[in-house]
Amino acid sequence: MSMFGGGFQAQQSVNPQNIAMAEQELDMVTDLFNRIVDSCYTKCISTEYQQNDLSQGESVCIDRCVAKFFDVNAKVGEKMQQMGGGQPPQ
Amino acid sequence: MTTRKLPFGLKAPSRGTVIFGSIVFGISGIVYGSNYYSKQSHQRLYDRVTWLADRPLGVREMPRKVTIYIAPPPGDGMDKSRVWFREYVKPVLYKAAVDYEVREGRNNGDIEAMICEEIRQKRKAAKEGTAPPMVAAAKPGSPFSPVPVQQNEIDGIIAIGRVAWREVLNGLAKGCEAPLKDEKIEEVKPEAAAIADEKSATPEETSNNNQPEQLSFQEEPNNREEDAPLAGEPAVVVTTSGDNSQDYTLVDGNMVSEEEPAFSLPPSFPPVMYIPHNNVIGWLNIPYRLFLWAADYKRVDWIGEYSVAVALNERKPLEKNEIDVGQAEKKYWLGDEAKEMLTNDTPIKLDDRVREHLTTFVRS
Repeated sequence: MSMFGGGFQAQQSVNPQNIAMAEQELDMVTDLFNRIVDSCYTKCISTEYQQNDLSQGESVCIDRCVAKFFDVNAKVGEKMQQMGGGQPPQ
Repeated sequence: MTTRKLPFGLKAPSRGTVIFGSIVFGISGIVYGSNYYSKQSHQRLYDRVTWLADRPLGVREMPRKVTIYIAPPPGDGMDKSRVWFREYVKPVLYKAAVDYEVREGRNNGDIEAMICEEIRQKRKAAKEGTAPPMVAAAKPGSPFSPVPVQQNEIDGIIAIGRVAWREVLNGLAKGCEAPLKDEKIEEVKPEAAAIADEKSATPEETSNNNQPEQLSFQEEPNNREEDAPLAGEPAVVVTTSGDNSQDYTLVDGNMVSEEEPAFSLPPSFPPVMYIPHNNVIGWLNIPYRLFLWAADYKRVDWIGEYSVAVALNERKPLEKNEIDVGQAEKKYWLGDEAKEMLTNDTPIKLDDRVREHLTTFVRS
């Protein structure tokens, strides 16, 4: 009973804000992922499908595209945080 | 003055119009021609390599990857080297599906240090029988790398320009001589240094026998000159009295034992390639630059040959006369800082022990 109560209390203390933040984070990651897939797909995959596998050229292109995306994402995030300075958004 | 009648009531253009028109059409013709011919040159190069990119790639395979080292040309900025790479080298690599990583050596000696450390790590990994740390790239916990992919080794070192080339070769040679121990455990064994001159070189079958138990071998009084012809079997790593800084490797059946403490070769060297970079600067060279700008296809062809060679990955041993290259570049080392480098410029040298194991790409 106490265990359940303790767990419940812990959940209570976690629930309201952290879950919302986690959801937001998940949204962000999903959004990032979708963007990556979108832009790298249009950039790298040719519309003439000649084989079922990725070709070497396509996979190198995707590799670099994704790496670049993450790179830029990290850089922009860093910069935004710097610009935000001490005060957090909202 | 009789005016000649042109058809449709057109008038003959005035003198000013003729001058204006001929200048405009002349310049745009040159620009168009330059673009047209360089595009054709690029296309010719692409035709030789695109079949590489069209091959299918398995899920667990990795494409080839080369490392490109660039240094700022003397008397100029890094940007020139970057542009040179972007304009003449990168398009071919891209079309050939060769992944690349550009590393910039801002200061003198940066590239050398990078390569030296890389080779040292390789030697160390080979000696300890462990995989180099960079192979463990696919983290098991990360959601973005669920499949452990066989990380490929760096499949080529490319130096753009004489400055970078010199540093690459120096780095390779120094990497083979650098002590294998990390800096922090350098001064641990004073007694090992004391017995270092009477140590024995005893061949061991296994390559990772550098534990202190090997100390029993040091009692044997034979020296390394007598040992050398005895050792017949190839690829035996000789360890001495547990001291990492002293090792002798058998390479191709020949004992390599030298005065330098820690000379050994890594299991393999990546092929190296020099790509020229004529950084044409200077007031007097402006007409020549204009000509080169108009006839860009020449440079595309010239440098493209090298990048096609990298892409096609056909190798041959590095010859002696391929070491001290890039003399033509020195003509354009202008400016105070460059003049200093020009006077300090010595022929590039490479230890033969290292050179014998180096390969380069075959240009057709």
